[in-house]
Amino acid sequence: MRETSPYKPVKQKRQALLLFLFAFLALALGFFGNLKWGQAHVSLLTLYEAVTFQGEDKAHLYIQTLRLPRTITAAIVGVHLALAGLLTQLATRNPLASPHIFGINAGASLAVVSGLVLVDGLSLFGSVAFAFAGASLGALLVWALAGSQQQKQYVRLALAGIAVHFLLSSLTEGMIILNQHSTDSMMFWLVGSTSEAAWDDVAALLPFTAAGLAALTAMIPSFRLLILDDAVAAGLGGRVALVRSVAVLLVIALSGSAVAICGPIGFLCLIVPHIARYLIGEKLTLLVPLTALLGACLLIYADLISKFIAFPFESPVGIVTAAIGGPFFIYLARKQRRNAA
Amino acid sequence: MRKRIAILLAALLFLVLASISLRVGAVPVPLRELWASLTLQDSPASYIVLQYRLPRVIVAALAGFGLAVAGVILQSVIRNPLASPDVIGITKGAGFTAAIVIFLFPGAPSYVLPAAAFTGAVGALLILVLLSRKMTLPPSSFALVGVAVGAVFQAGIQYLLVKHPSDVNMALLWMSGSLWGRGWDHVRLLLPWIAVLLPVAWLGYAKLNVLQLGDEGSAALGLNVPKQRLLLLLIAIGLTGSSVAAVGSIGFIGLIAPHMARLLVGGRHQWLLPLAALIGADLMLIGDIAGRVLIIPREVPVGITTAVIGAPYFIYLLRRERLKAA
Repeated sequence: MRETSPYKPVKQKRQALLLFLFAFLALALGFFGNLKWGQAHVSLLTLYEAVTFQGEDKAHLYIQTLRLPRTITAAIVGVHLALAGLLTQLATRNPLASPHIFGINAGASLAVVSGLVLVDGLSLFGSVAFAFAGASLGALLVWALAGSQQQKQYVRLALAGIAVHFLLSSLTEGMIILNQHSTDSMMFWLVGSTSEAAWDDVAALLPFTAAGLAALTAMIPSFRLLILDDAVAAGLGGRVALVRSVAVLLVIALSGSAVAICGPIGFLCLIVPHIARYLIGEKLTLLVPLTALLGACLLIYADLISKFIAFPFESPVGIVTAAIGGPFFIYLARKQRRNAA
Repeated sequence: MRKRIAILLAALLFLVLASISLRVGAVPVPLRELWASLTLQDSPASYIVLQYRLPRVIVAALAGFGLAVAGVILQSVIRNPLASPDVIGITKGAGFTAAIVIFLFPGAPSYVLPAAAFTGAVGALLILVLLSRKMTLPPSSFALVGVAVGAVFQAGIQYLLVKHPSDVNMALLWMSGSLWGRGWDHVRLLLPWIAVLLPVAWLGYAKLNVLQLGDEGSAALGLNVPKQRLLLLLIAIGLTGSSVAAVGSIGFIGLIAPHMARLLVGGRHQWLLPLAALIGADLMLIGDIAGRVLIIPREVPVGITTAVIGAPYFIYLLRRERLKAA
């Protein structure tokens, strides 16, 4: 795969620095936009006072308890999903892979919905635990399917993963009917949305973000093995199977916690690693932070769009990411053929 | 002989399932009363059976016929075992335009709905043809592109659902397909399309058989390949569009019914088409019955139960394809 890789080689240091600067700026801009624009009009002064926790008006409270946690959650979930996507692509060495395509998100979603139906008054941490169980189930299914995976089986494996995804989300729909939720929460658990995020959610997510990022940073040297051929990596003394398992565990932790809070937001995890790789190359020390940054960026902007496409109704942000990600996925699926030929 | 037996058995199964479907539900109707309620207007259960269950069974059967036959035609014309109206995104395209009519033009006359769904299905196929370099992509890449096209249309359907909040049953109808609340109106809407297109499709069996030989082989036998392919595709799309207009975008029936039929009677289309149609209707009824008796008095939409039956079969199919390739 590497010799046919269409991505540009590692860029110069200055270019990389510029890229990061630009991504940061875009993120800050998106953050500001998400706080400023929404269903209610908020003046710049009120916004400033609210963010610095000076005012106690209704408008200030609105920003502090609704928009601010929502925006922060969107950013964190973006980071989680983008990194989970990158790790899945590394671990399976499949450019079409992502937790969404492989049914990991749908598995987590199914488990959380089952938890909500079966256990009365499920706590936030309880639902995170359920999400982990479900994400592991999805990962196991794919692992079983990928058992005898050979090179150039990318497309087939992606198709199998999508079948798993369809199956699990159908079961989720069935579970929702058992509980007779309203349409809104049904869309939430099928498509993914940030609209109900509160400070509790941020607090529930942050430990996983911190632990995930720390583990990821520590493991970057080992993850380099996954870029190599299995035989070559083993020849260099690497324990490929172990490293791969750690990567899968990280994927489960990152996407499971994200799904528990925001539902299965699709396609983001697929496209962000590709964009980042295109921009900066394969070097993991640069690729990982840029992927995280771009993930946060993309989800924040998608969230902003989702507030307005059906104004004054909120749309689940997953609709926006599917509308953006679907065409990109088509592009990738078609490119596979060009590479294989 | 074996072929005749297979078709006979499928037809028998269909009758059994249809009578079960008329009997079970929130109000069970005993077998003895079933005949009375079908023939006598004033028997106690006749209102339920005649006004609710009978049209529902008919719609399920017609949609099962339509989707399964469309699946056979698509798999043969595209020569792709993974093709089917739902995998390649055609049902989602049809569902999208049907949802547009339902939500944006609620006052439109009922015959507009299948026409709109047909337009959406044609649109989805056109997009797919353009994206897949006139269908020259290898089978699984083609299927994957179709899945993605379907995902984009699905996002569109979801957008309409959010923009026009409605109840859960309505939403599920357009997301995964459902027989909820289908009545005589829908029978009238679906019947003409299926009644015309099904025989036309069956009459095309010779062309479908010849197309299996490949483009050059078919042309050498005197078949105008591009023209026939277009005609057959239009039939498939008409069947898909009208079925989706009535029951929403039900998945997996169009994919697995043709495969099951092919296992039983082989690739000759004069046998394959009727058997696949019957199996499609059987699957629909099984899905519907299961959905109705699992949690009385609520019902699980048939689209969910068919996915639960169909997705594992699809994965099995993929594995078998892989083994064959290896």
